[in-house]
Order: sequence, then structure tokens, then C-alpha cells
Amino acid sequence: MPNKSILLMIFLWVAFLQLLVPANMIFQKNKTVVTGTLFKFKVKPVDPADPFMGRYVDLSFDQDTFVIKDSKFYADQQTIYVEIAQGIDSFAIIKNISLSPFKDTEHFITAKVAYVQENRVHIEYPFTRFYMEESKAPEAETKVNLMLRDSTYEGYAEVFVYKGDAVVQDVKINNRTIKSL
Amino acid sequence: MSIQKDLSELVANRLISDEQAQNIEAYYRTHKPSNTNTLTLIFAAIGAVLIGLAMILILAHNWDNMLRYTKIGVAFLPLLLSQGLTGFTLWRKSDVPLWKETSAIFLFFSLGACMALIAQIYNIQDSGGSFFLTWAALSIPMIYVLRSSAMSLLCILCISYYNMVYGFDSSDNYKDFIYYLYLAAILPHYLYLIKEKVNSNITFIHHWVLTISLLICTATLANTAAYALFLLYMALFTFFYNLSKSSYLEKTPSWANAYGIISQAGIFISLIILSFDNVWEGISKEYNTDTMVFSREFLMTLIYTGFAAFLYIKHQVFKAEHLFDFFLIWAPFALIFYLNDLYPAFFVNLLTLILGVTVIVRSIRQESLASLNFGLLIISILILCRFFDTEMSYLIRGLVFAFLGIGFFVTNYFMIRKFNKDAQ
Repeated sequence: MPNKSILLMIFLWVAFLQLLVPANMIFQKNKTVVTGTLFKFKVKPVDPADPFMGRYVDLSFDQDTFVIKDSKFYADQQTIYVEIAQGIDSFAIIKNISLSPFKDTEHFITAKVAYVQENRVHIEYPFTRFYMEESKAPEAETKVNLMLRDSTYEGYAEVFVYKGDAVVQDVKINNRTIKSL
Repeated sequence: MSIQKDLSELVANRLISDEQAQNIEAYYRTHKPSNTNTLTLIFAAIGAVLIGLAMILILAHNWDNMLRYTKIGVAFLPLLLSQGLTGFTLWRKSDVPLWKETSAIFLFFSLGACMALIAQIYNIQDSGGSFFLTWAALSIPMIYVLRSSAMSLLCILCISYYNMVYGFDSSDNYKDFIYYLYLAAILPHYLYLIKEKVNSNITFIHHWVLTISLLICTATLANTAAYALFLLYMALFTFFYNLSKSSYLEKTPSWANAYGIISQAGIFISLIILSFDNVWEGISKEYNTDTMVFSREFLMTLIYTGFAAFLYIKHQVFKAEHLFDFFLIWAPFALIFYLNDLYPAFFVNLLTLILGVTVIVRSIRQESLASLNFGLLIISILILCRFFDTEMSYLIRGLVFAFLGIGFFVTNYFMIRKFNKDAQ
């Protein structure tokens, strides 16, 4: 068995890594929040739960397909890069998709191809969860779903986008956060 | 104390001397079985697991009133505390299993809780199971740093959960192999347990957890040649059986030797399923040697067969009867599988019957009542299944069942009589 000081050294390294990994998660996401651009994605929510991370509102987006000329380069579950821009109604729209990261813009998200139908690529975003306090999530889901049936209400997710990464900041209905519904 | 009473009686009857009595008493005083320590360890471990799970659930509640940076602080606090506890254990209590196992359990859960809470704060989605892989990867080194078996069990459970949830996704070929890669990283600790703590409860729990984990996770390998899972499972069970009969596990009590129990039950159940003709119709329809040979199902079959062959060559002397026993049953089964358009159901029935007879013959030779009944059970279930298969009169079925019942009684009666005679 290795002696105590070697074990302590290894322990310190692993303990450092254990702190570094979550710290790095925070650093990466904070960078996107601080330097990224805020886009509003129109949503339709439902409510499942995760045994480890808690209850969340599952988000699905209006803008989740993109028509291309030739779909033969796109396969299911393939990693793609989705360029985002602001539409006329101030909501996010997909400007372009690519198989490699965009060099001329910071406003793109790393996503996956859900499936391809004819020349339409269906996109799987990496940010479909909005975590909420466990008592509020089911209630929010019911209220939001009721509101979204009414055309005078608009539901959207505020998402920071920066060079492939994205952070969901909040989910709102007519400028009001669903946490306070 | 009863030992003192017994010793004074032995001394009074001049069976042992005073000096011998004192030596025996001193021996028992110093070699007292450490039941209290084991119990304390078990309760402490259960307590730590419960507190760890509570920590994850309380943090999963998602406290809306807290500010983002307060939440981050809350996420890191248990991790820092458990790291401190682990550091203290290594520094001051490195010889006390109670401290090592408890701090390992706290560390494991606080790391998981920390990462889960960060994911919650930033709404990070874990679509590919990387949360569990990172959790296990950052925990596995602690198995060796602390020599902690609780940590190794938790890591096996963590990666098994990952593989069961994400392994069935056939679009990612490498995912199943990640599970095996992580298992390989835990293997040295398991080998240490087999070598150094062969009769410890924690080793027995490892046998069961690993066997069940491999048993379930093998199903996730189903991909391009799912029908070859039968072949793969037979290879896995043959490997398990040879492992259970190897010198590594010969001192393990039979109830704790999960490899022996699972392999025999697995081979028996697989053969019974494959003794039905319609199962083979499905296999024959899809069977294609070319695609099967290049499938990951076949690759794992080869690996398990290799392990089984290695263990057999190392620990057994070849006998032709082993080809029809659990030791080498994979070989005739593979032949039937390969020639699957040549009455496979008939040959599986024959193989099962021969296996039943082999087990009975072996049980008589070894005078094992349990094996005898297992052999009889194999043959009886096989016959029972054939009766549901064919249209035969109720009278004949009834008579055959009656004969089977009488057969059980008679063979057991003679076996018990033989035991009693040998005992006299």
C-alpha cells in the first residue's frame, strides 16, 4: 500500500479536481451570461421531474426547424451549429445552420439534429429545462398552458447565447416571470 | 462469561491444565470477534447514505428565495466539508474503517449534490448522461485513496444507472463500452477484495452487485444483431460459472457466490426459452452470419468466451462430460445457434435433457441433495414446457406429472438413505 503522504497528495489532487469541475461549469455559464446576447425564444412548456436535479419545466420552442437545400449532409443526433438572430417581432429566429462553428458571429448555439424530414432539419436544443421550486413547477405548467391558449399572451424563454453555449435566464409570459405566476 | 465456566469445568475434570485454561482464556480475550465494530460500521454506512440522499433531495427542492451566489455557496459547502472530513480521515484515522467508509459516502453524495445544484442554477441539461460519468470519474480515485468498498459499490451503482438509462440509445455505439471502461477502473479494488477479504460481507455484496449489474447492462448491447443476445448471455453465464468454480471463489459460501447462482439459473432459463420452436423461427428469420460477426454483440460474446476458456483451462481438468455441463455448455449451444435452420429447438431440448442428467449424475457422485433436485427440476420444467407445446390428452399429461412427482420422492428418498448409511 502506498504511504500516507502519497495518498494525501493524490487526495488533494482529486479533491481539487472535484472542486474544479463544478467551478468550471459555473465559470463557463457565467461567461455566457456576462458576455452573451439575450434572445427571446417562444415556448410551449410541460412539466416532468428529475430524480437528482429536481423539478423543472420542460421547454419546447417554436423555432425548432430549418429548411435547407440539401439534407444529405445531416443525420440524426449529429452535432450542428445554429445561428440565431432577432426577428421583426423581437423574438429569436434561426438565421442559418452549419456543421462547423460560425467564425463571423458569436450568436450561435451548439445543438443536435433531432431528425431530418425531406429538406427540413428538426433541431434539438441543449437548453430545454427550466428548474423551479418543486411546489411551483406543476402549478406554473398548468397556468402557462392555459395562458398560451389565449393569443393575447406570449410565452418566451430568455436565453443568453455566446459562441455555441447557451444559458436559460428566465421563462416569461407577457414580460412576467413564471416563478411569480 | 460462558467460556470461563466451561474452562473451569474442563480443569476440574483434568482434561486441560490450569496453564492451558489461562492461555485459552487469553486467546479468546484478544481474538474476540468484532461484531460490534461491524454493526457500527453497517449502521454508520446506512446513516451516511441516507444523509447523502437527503442532501441531494433537499437541494433538488430548488430554493427560489435564495440568490444565485448563495445557492452556489450552498452547493459547495457540503463538498468542502466532506473533503475536509476525508482529509482528516486520511491524516488521523487512516486505520479506522468506520471513518474511511463514512467519509467516502459523504464525499460521493456531496459531489453529486454539488454538480446537480450547479446544473439546476444554470438550467444545464444533461441529455447524454455526462453528469453520472463525471460524478463516477471524480469518485473512482477515492476508492483507492481511501481503500473504500462503500465508494466502489456506489460507483458501480452510479455507472450501472447511467448505462441502464442511456445505454439503450443505439445511436451512440461507444456508450456501452464506457460502462465497461469504468468497471475496469474499479476492478483492481474488487480483485483486492477477492484476494485479501475473501470472506468479508462487503466482498459478498460486491459479488452480487457486480453480477446483477453485468446481467442487466448486457441487454443494452443489443444493436444490429439483437438476436445474438442469446449467444452473448450464454457466453456471459458460462464465464460466470467458470469464475464461480475457480480457485478465487472456492472459499466463498455458495449463497454469496452470486456467479454460481446467477449462471446456473441463467443457463437454465435461457435453454428453456430456446426450447420453444417459435423463438427459433424469429432468430432464423433475422440471422445473418456476416452482420452478426461484425456486431458489438458478437464482439462481447468473444470476450466473455475468452474469459470463460481462460478460467476453465486454468482451474479445471478437461472432461468430455463438461461439454454438457455448465462449464462448457456454450460450445454445443453455439453450434446449435450457428446451424439454426437444422432443428435447433429439438437440439436445445436434447441439450437441456443431457444437462439435467449430467447435473443429477454429478450430484449423486458428490452426494449433494440440492444439486440432485436442481437436475430433476431442469428435466421436469423441460417436460412441463413440452406439454404446453403439444396437444396431448389430459390423462397422459396427468400421468406424466404423477410420474415426475414420484420420481422426485424416490430419488430424494434413496439419496437421503445413502447419506444416512454413509454417516453411520
